Amino acid sequence: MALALRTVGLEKLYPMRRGPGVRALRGVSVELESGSTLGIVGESGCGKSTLARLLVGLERPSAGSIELFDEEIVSLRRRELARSLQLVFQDPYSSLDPRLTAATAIGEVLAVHDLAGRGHERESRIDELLGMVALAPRFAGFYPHELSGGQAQRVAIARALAVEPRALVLDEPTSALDVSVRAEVINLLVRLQDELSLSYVFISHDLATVRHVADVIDVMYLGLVVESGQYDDVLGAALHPYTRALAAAVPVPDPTHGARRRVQLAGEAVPAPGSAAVTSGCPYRPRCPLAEAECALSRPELVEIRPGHRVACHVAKRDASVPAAEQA
Amino acid sequence: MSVTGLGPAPSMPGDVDLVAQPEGRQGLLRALWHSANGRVGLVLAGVVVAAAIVASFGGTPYDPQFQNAAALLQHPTWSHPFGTDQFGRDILSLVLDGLGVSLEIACLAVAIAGVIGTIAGVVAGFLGRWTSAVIMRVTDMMFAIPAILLALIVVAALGAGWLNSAIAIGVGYIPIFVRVVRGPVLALRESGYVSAGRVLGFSRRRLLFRHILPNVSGILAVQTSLALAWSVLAEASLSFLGLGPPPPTASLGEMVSQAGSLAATAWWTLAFPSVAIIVAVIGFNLLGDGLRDAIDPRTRKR
Repeated sequence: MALALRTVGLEKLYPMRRGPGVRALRGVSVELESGSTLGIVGESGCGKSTLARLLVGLERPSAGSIELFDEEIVSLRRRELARSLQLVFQDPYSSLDPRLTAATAIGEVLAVHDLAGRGHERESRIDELLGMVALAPRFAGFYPHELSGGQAQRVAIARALAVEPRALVLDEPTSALDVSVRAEVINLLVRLQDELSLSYVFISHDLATVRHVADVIDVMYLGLVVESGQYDDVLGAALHPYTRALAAAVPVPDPTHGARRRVQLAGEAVPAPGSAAVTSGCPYRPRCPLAEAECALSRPELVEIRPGHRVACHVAKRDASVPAAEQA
Repeated sequence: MSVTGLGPAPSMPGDVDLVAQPEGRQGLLRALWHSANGRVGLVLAGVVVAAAIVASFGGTPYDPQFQNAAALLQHPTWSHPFGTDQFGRDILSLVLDGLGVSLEIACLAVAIAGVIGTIAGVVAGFLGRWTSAVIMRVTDMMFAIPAILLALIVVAALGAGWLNSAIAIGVGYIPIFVRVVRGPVLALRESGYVSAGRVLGFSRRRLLFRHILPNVSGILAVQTSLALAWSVLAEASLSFLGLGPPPPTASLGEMVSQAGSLAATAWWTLAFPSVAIIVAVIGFNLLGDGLRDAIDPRTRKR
């Protein structure tokens, strides 16, 4: 399978006037296979939105590289990058200019990239794009504030599709929407992926959302990928204690299922810059129920425990290397 | 009418919502009409502008400079509704003519301040750290000098006159436009739809002129109205101090100054020019307030 997107050792440091600065990403390597979906999961402050901003070129990485369809993105011009990779933002109302109708917003993109000609030709292309996101042509004249959240997000998706990109970065595309329309937007995205053979990076804080779309899931914690694998492996046989806590937080819509063992996370998600959790050892150590002496000494590397299933945890790695110790 | 009115520059409408509501011009006008400030301001400013336009086209009842030796210091009568001055000139005609001159100077001053201030503010907000730092430090320095002092320095350097008054007043107001524009531009630069535009491959020029500037136009409208009020007052103060356009150009400030010694016996020589200044200043201020209320959805009454 060809790779749509690959990052190698991506780092992002936000310097501060005083102190060590915030290391939002600390060496993130992810791979997205062409035509598939990579889910990136983690709580607020884990660096997932920073990753999205780096991927689409809104910010430059402090270190590491990003390859898009086997090309370094630093070598791409902004317009070229825009043509192959687009971003769908979390909040459609802020990502759409409040003064532009749906048609004007989409038409502007077509004009900037010299796509779909002018006049009637452009109008029919706008209608076609609206149709792709299941909006009737009458929505073309609507302003963002006249649209519901779900409709506005569809317009944002249609605008992103106007450049005919090969890959989309979806930064929590449903988090700002009513629960009732989330499924619609997710289903739309899945259908578009099939029709246009798009590759997705789907970013979310919510495992329950990602499970519907992702083929591969990377779990991020404090700027690091702590677990990575096929979605069945990561969700069904989580190795990292943080992933298990996330998985346990997914609600089960079945009253007869009985109370599952809840995992309560203690402490702050984002420690102060320069504190021990960020500078040495395992970043998850202060909140980890399994933390041992070794976890304070060295930072666990992301190692392959099973084929295609990697985890960065000293305890999980040791347990896996003892054949007798069967994991639940 | 006191000179101190020229001192402090008017406050900035800092908490105007950054994004103008896309309700169209009709919605804005309706909202303006529905706020008490806006309605009074619209009427007063409309009267002042109409009077000034009439006077500019020579529509005054008498030639403002015609000295009728047979009618010195006359009470207001039907033939001279505002009375006459010590030279027998018709005060209504002088006031109308003075309003015209005042507004011409004020408009030119606001144009100077608005164009230079907006460009500097946009550049400071949109371009890099160094450009911004230089512009903002210069602005701070201009702010440190009271606007009236700045205007006095400019007039002293260039000499009194119509154009120089406008330049002096305009320069004094530049820093306010810079600050008022820079903040929203700074915020909009990082806003969702400007980021979205960057991701979509839009050029910086397109982002600036198609997406950022139109969304600060409401703030500019408010500030322009407030600047007009301040400029009328500043022009009156400069000519009160004898630094306005030299005679025979009619000037409200100079009329007030001349009338000071006559007011005890001929109140109308002081009252009508003063009222004209007050109506113009209050009118534009209320219009500015009304515009701000109309643009900011949080203060808009439904």
